[in-house]
Amino acid sequence: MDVSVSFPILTAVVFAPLLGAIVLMFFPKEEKGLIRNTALFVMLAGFAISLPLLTYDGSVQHSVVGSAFPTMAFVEQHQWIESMGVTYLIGVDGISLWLVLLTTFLGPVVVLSTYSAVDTRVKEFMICILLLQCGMLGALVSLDAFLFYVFWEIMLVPMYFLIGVWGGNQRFYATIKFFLYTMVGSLLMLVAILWLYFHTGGADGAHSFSLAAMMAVETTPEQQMWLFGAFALAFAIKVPMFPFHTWLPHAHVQAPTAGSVILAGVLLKMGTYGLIRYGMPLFPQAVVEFAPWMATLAVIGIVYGALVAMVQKDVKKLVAYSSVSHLGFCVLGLVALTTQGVEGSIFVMLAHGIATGGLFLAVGIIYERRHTRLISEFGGLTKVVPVFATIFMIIVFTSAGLPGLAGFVGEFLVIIGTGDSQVLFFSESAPLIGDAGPETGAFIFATIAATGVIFGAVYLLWMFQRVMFGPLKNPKNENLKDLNLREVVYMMPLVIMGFVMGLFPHLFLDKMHTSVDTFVDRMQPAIMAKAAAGTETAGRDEASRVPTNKLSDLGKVGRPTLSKAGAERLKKLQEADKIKPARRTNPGTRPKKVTLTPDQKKKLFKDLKFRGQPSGGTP
Amino acid sequence: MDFSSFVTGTDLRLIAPMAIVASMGVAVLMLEVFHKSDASRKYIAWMSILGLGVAGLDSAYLLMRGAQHEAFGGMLHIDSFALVINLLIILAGILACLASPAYLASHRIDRGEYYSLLLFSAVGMMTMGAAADLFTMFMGLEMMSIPIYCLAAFFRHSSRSAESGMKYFILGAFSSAFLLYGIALIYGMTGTTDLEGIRVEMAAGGFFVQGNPVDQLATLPALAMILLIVAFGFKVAAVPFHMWTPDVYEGAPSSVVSFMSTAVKTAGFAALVRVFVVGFFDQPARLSDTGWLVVFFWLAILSMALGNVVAIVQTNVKRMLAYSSIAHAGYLLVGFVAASHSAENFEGMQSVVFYLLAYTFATVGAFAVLAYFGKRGEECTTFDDLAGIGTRHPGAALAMTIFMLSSAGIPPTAGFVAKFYVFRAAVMTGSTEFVVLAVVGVMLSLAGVYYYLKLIVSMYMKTARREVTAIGGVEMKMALVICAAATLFFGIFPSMGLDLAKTSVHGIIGAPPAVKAALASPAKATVKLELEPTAEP
Repeated sequence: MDVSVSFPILTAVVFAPLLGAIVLMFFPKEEKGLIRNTALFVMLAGFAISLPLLTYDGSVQHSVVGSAFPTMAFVEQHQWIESMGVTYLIGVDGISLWLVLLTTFLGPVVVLSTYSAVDTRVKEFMICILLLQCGMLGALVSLDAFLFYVFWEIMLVPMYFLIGVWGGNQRFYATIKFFLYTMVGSLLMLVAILWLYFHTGGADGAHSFSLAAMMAVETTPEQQMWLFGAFALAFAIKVPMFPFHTWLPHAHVQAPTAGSVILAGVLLKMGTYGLIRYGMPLFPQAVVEFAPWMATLAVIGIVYGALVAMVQKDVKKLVAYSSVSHLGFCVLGLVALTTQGVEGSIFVMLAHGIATGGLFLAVGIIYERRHTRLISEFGGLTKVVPVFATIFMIIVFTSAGLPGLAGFVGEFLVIIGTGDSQVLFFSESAPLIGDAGPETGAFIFATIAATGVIFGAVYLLWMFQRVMFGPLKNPKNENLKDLNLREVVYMMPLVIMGFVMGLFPHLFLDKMHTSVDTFVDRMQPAIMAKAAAGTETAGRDEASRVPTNKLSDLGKVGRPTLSKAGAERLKKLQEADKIKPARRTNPGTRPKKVTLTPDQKKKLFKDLKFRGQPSGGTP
Repeated sequence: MDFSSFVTGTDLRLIAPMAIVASMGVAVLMLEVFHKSDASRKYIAWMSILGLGVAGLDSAYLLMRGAQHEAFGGMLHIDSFALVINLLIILAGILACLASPAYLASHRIDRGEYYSLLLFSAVGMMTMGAAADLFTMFMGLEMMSIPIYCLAAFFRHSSRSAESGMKYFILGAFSSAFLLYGIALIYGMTGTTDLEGIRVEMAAGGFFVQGNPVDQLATLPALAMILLIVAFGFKVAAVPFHMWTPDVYEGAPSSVVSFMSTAVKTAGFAALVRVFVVGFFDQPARLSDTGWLVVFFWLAILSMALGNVVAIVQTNVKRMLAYSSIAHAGYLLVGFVAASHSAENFEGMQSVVFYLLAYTFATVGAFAVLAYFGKRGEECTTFDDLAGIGTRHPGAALAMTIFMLSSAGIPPTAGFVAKFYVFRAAVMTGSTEFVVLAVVGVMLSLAGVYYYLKLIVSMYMKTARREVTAIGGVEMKMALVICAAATLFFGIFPSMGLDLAKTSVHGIIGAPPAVKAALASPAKATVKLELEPTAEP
């Protein structure tokens, strides 16, 4: 039984940075150039090692870790702590594949960007970055909850140092807040993991931390509520979703540029990735019940993040809040529980990594030259630094979601996916939006999210206009140096990727399909149940609905409520085996890539025209 | 007690580890007499290490041979539990001896008695770990405590240190009195001081009010047990018997604290296991409304809460570590009560042993780092003193970081696995109260993260206010490297430590039959790799 490829490629990808960090420890700290080049070499090597992962084709023949993950490839499995049932079990599928590649791709870019920005304690800095890289990659490929938790926590420590040692003036506050916020969530997640652990195993009582074993645990809806609550809180803090986002602006503003790039580029995605890989597949019933609430928080995040970004005076803070907004799209797409929504969500993660990473790098470049990030200090830079202006502009457009660039595809898919969703409505007795049933609820969420796209264009283009266009008022800006070769070298990959992802999204989406289908299929019974109940709700006559709008009934909102009739219908459906949507037997019937109907195109065109207006400077 | 048997050769063979350490203590004391006053006493430290090392090897040898014997007519149980506890104590002793010579020399308190006191104290601790009778337990406790009181006051010219020794001595004397009084009551009730005998007598039920469901546990045994709890609670620094801890830790020499904070706790927990599991495991004594399980349950919560919360506001690192050691006593108690919940859960006592292992490395290491700085009676122990050592002394700072991360329970350090294991034991009981206990513990350990991080912030992120002198010394550096490496090793490959813990728990000679039966049943938590056959290629 050949369970793994002959060369442990994933292990190599994960631990190459760690090896690099260990080697760096023995370097004399005066040799800054040597240390930088070595770190760069390690990152480039890591990226090179990860490239063979692209041979992943999304087929199901690699299935070796249980039926829970039929599309997992490059799997490696070894005993780790035998007495506790902990295994070293790693693998990638279409979902984690791209995030792994994003991480290894951003690695060299980040290192290269610090050549001039970081001049104190270079050795320690590079060691931190490499350790962070190892932690992030490990968390992305872990399929064992214990292993995942270990890597999840390992990520925290180097980031804590990156912000605390090389950060801005208020770095102590920012770094401790970052650490503690994340720890609160993680520890609750740990308790939930433990609970699941004790319910794994069959008659022989052998417990296991393997994710597949945990998925086999049967839970009642109420238990799912609690457990998913614990997981969701951990991930919501990491994402960060709306009420838990307050650590993010501090962390971003205080972190050094490289820290911000990694934070925005990869670390935040750990939250959404954790939802896809752990939180959601483990507790489908809880997810469909929480979906409208999470979607509400997500759209609040989208709009709130955008509005707050609009009024920022500090460019970096603006970009930080834009992350809140973009990550809202990720969460919305996920909880829509449609194939397009989930794929869109993953795509937004990638695009956000590229675009926001680029924005932070650009901000870092100006900051290095002027030591300020206040928008009011700038204006008219285009004339002084034309190369920078061009690159910055492309990245701003990527982030704002201009068609043809990366940002557009993901957000568009999320909006379509949300519109199709069958779960984005409040089960029963909710006096809020979406009481009318699945379609209306989904439509409302999609509409609000779409306005977020517009706001996104507003704050980014307005910022760009104030910084780059207009008269050159401030004399300090007259002698700004344009980009040097090194800066062009590390910005270009991001610009190029922005175009590649925008123009050929199918390259990326194709490899996700089977894995995302597996994910959605797993959720399908719960989705159908909720949809059945929802149709029931919508169909009830007015008389029976009125009393449920009473204030006293508010507390019942969000409970697992499958009406009696709905439950019966579901049971009948299940018996008739109609509900087993399972694998789509014919992959040709599903949209391979985004194809727009003429109507959609028209709508989109309208959207774009509107988008350009408030910015003042239509591209 | 069986007076018919006199001391035999087997008895002497079995107490060889203790005997070796004790004779080395005497030898060190003799050496001091012939020592030239100003010469370095490094060789005395190394001789002590040699003695401890040989004792450790002998313990390991006995452990591997699977020694399970009663010695001295049942006064001592040399079983795998005692031997593993021996190893932990010897480990703490060796590490403390390594950290000592440079520290003592730089503070001008380099005297040979130091090492012999340390060795005698270790003998007492080892006796406690092996005690099968309340008298040997008491003897061990005194033999451990009296040298430690002296060591705490070893800065002869510092009033702080003298206060620390005095305070520890007076309160310690009280706790010994409590212990004696408890023993007396128990002897009065049962007519024996043998722990197994006590259990048998109590189970026979002469002292419980039979047939009265309300007053399940009669007053007298309850009083006796409370006296014992106070005495041992004092030794392991559990709230509310913790008052002495911060003052003593602050005043005593750092190298002494490194030994005292770890080995005393190890011995204390070994004694708890011996006394309460062997002696008082029957239902009414343990599980009734006033049974000791409930008392320890609340001691655990109080210790975790007070230790973690008060540690946050400390400005002195030694005091912070003192409160954190109170919190650690709380975590250890979580494992202890969870394992004592029922015979089936006794397997969970491993978590306590493993926690002690992880705690020993991290705490000895942390105090060794504190001992590493400062000279002539002036220690560098506030957060401000340690500011900026990340740049000046990167090695020591890195080691301290590892110890702090381990104490905070952050992977990949031994402290994480230990905490995880303790809370796992609590959840494993399946009872709601214990799950709540685990959640409370997890949340309180979060507060712990804050003050451990605060130290890291000082070391790396603040600039130094004044120059700190490092003492250096090869032995000190060895201690730091060993502690740091072991902390990481047991974090990444905990299996070896877990196996050791398992062996120790499985071999308690006097354990109640129910516990023995539960332990003998096939191991539950073993995992099998579940590979599904590969689908068609």
